[in-house]
Amino acid sequence: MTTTWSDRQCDKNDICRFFTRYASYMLGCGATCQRIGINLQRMAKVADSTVDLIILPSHIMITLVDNQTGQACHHSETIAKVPISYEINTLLSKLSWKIAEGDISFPSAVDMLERVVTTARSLNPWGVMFMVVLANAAFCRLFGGDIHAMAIVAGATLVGYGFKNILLSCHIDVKVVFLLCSFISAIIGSAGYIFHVTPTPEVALGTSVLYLIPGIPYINSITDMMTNHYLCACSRFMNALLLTGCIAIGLTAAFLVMNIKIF
Amino acid sequence: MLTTKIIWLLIVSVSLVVLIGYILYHEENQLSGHRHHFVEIDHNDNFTDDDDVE
Repeated sequence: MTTTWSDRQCDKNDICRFFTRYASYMLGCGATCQRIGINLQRMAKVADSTVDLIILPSHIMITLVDNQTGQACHHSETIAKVPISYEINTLLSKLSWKIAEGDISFPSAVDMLERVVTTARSLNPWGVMFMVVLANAAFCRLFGGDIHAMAIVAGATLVGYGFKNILLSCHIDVKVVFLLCSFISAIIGSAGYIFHVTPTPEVALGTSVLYLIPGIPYINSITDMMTNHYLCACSRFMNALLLTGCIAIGLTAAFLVMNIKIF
Repeated sequence: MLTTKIIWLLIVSVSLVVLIGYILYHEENQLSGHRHHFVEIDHNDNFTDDDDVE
């Protein structure tokens, strides 16, 4: 049965609030502005409305206009502070299709959104950690590191990534987390210099913190810039730059503590 | 150099103890029902073809 949200049982204010919450989580979990806009327009058709989106560095504002009456309603919300998750991103996109296909009522859509943002965790964290360790060790190899350097990088990544997960789950500020994890990984990555176990200690040290580089915010900022969302692009770029700065501070602190003079 | 080695060993040992300690504590206190959740949303895949077209 096809369901539309254009009847009087669905209050436009509630729909607008739902769209704002949806966009807030889409943005928080790493979707581009273009993707959010497309998904919202898709869902707005079911409510026989059009939607306009304003994305500020920390807030999101949505205007929903009824196509029949011209009545407009606005809602704003703070952008959700959630880890980047393509799993949630995908599920929210699927939810928008489900709504567009008319398969789901408004109350069910609200419930589904809450379920997705509060409980969706499909990947095993240990599996992810294993893949991150392998990927970072592979980076070390790509930059010319030998097998011992790769082992050092794997160890540094394992401990650093473990700390990152723990600290983030304790809701510690992400900048502090990046600084600490960078410091710990760099300390472990300096084993090549301290114990002379590899002829390529500089590669091991340099690549030990690569897993922390905020690649998705950098890529999204470029994508947003290409789609004329300059404000969001700058915001994402500055966030990524700050995190990169924290990584650099952690790395430098490790150099000082371990008395390593590369430069 | 010996001091640097001792500092390295100290930092790494403390990091490992904290990490392993937290994992063991967390695993013990985590309810089995709260480990992983799967949310499935099925929809007609035919509609995704124009997903990126504005």
